[in-house]
Amino acid sequence: MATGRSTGSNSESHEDRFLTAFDEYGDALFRHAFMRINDRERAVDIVHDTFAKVWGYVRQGHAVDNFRPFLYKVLNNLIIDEYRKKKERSLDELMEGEGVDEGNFEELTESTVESLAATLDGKKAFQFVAELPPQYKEVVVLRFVDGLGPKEISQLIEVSENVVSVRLHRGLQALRDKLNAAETTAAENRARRKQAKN
Amino acid sequence: MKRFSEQFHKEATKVKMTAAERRDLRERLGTYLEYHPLPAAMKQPKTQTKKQAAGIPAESFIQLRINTAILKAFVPTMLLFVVVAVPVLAERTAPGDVLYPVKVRFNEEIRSQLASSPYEEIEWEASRIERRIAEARLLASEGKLTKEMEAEVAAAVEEQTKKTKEKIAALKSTDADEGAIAEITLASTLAVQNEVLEADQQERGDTDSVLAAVVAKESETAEAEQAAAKPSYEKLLARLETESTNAQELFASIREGASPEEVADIERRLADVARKVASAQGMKAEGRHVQTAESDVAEPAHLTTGNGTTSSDLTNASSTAVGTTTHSSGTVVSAVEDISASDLDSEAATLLRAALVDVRKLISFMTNIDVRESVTVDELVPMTLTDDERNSLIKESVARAQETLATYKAVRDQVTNNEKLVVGMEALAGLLERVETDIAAGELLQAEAALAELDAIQTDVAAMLRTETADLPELVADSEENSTTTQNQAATTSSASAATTTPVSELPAETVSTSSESTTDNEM
Repeated sequence: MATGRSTGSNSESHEDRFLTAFDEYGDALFRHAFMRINDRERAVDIVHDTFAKVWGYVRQGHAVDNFRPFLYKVLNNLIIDEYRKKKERSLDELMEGEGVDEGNFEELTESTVESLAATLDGKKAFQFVAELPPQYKEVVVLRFVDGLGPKEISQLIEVSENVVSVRLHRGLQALRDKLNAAETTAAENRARRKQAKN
Repeated sequence: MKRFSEQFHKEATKVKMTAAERRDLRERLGTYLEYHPLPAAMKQPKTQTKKQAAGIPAESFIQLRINTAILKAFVPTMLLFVVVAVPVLAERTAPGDVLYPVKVRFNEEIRSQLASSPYEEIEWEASRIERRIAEARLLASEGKLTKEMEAEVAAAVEEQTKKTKEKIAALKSTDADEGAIAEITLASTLAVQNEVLEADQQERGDTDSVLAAVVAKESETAEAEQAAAKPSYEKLLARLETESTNAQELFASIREGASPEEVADIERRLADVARKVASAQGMKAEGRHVQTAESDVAEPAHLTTGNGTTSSDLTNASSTAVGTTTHSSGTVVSAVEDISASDLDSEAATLLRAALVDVRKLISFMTNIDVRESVTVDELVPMTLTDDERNSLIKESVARAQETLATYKAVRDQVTNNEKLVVGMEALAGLLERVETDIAAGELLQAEAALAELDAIQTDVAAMLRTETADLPELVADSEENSTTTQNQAATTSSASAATTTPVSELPAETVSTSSESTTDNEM
């Protein structure tokens, strides 16, 4: 799904095209927003704000051929704003790991991302996405939830494809670590319960 | 990888808005759209130009769209108005109206430019004279025609006639025949208008119409010029054919709306024209025959007999035509004796010319409603009698003359100074005999000429009787009445040229003046 579908033909009114875009992409955008900020109500609000902004753009007389990338772009900007507003995590934290973003060769290739992903249990890993640092969460959600390719992601978040690959790699590694940690804890808990029983 | 992303994605799809959340959000967006509607100019997505995201400001496009809309709506309307409506409206104007100059200087000039041949152009220029006069008459009928305006129209008519004549002169220098035919056209147009204006004057009872005077003058000079021109027989015949076809078509188109009398009248005129053409053609053929005969032996008797019917036809034809044609035909009649092939040719041409004038007049009678309203066909194109009709008319006259002769015989003894009466009676008897032999020989023209002579003598005798015998009032009244009817018939059947006391053979060219004298005598 390298390019998004064009919504509707020119003969439809702008309002119709716009609402059709909501019907098509509303759920995906909500999912994305929810996974990024982990707040249902805020996610709904952000999706609303995203559509409102796009509508404002249409009202200025700009033609929007393909709503999907445009909606993602606006949504992503709004989510970043949301992070900044919350300030739960400082900007420094947001920038965490940036310094080593050059990455090594292993991290820079898609195939390593694939091989790394192959070792993971998708169902279990999903539960830990919320715990990922925002930078990794962004690319992981875009890659595995929204199904965008590395190139699309790089255009959307305005970083190079290499950075996208590195972040994906590190995000998956982080997920694996968390999975392992959880398994270890579970094993320890099981052992502890056994000991307690005994 | 596949397994991971599948599983991951499957988990992710579980995250979605509840139906209620979804419905609420859609409602919120719907409300948002309502409160933030599109600018009016963007309501029609079809016409909107595709713009790039970071493109040109939309307002300029909106402005342009309004402009084109205005252009689209107004420019064709304005063009239509200027090109179609104004000239159409102008066409119905009369002098003094705002659009009148458009009619005269634009519509008519354009039409003049559009003429395909110089002749057509002259035809149109001539009909412009008609238009000027029609406008004046329209104003007069509405009571709007002041003396000043009439003078203006008269000047315009003069100007237009001059212009037409200039064009005719130009045409003549390149094509003499066409020019001569164009002169006939102009003359017939003016003659018709002259008739119309005369009828108008009679109706209103005023005699000092500047316009009528101008038209009468122009008509007269045009007649003279027309008579002087000698178009070739072939050209005349060709033009006549075109014009009669036009006339026939016109007649067919107006036939339904016309009264039965009108239809009969016009039919008769068209038949007259056809007859004239036929006799002209006969004459032409004869001319060729005569030419060969001349080369053998010049035989006057043969010529006269051969010429009899045709030249009487000719006289007849020209008498129906306007004054000047009569002059020329008078000459022709007087020259009957020494007729030659070339004379026959020119006679045929004259006859055709008369026919052409008739057709032109008929056409303007049929096309112009204002002409039709003020003059009758008879005034414009008098009926041309056929040979049979003339025959019976002559016979009637003869019968009447015989009666008169009988009454003279009866009163001869009562009159004291009866030598004159006896001489007159002898002359009458001689003439009657001549008429009868002429009729027997089928020479209508000569019979008519003799009848006219007879008539003149009768008038003289009656006048004499009137002065000498006051005791015979019933006789005088009788002969007067008789002579008047005969004279009238003579005027219709034969030309005035025949009404003379001298025999045809000795008749000089100035027959017409003599005839007019005798007419005045008669009316005393």
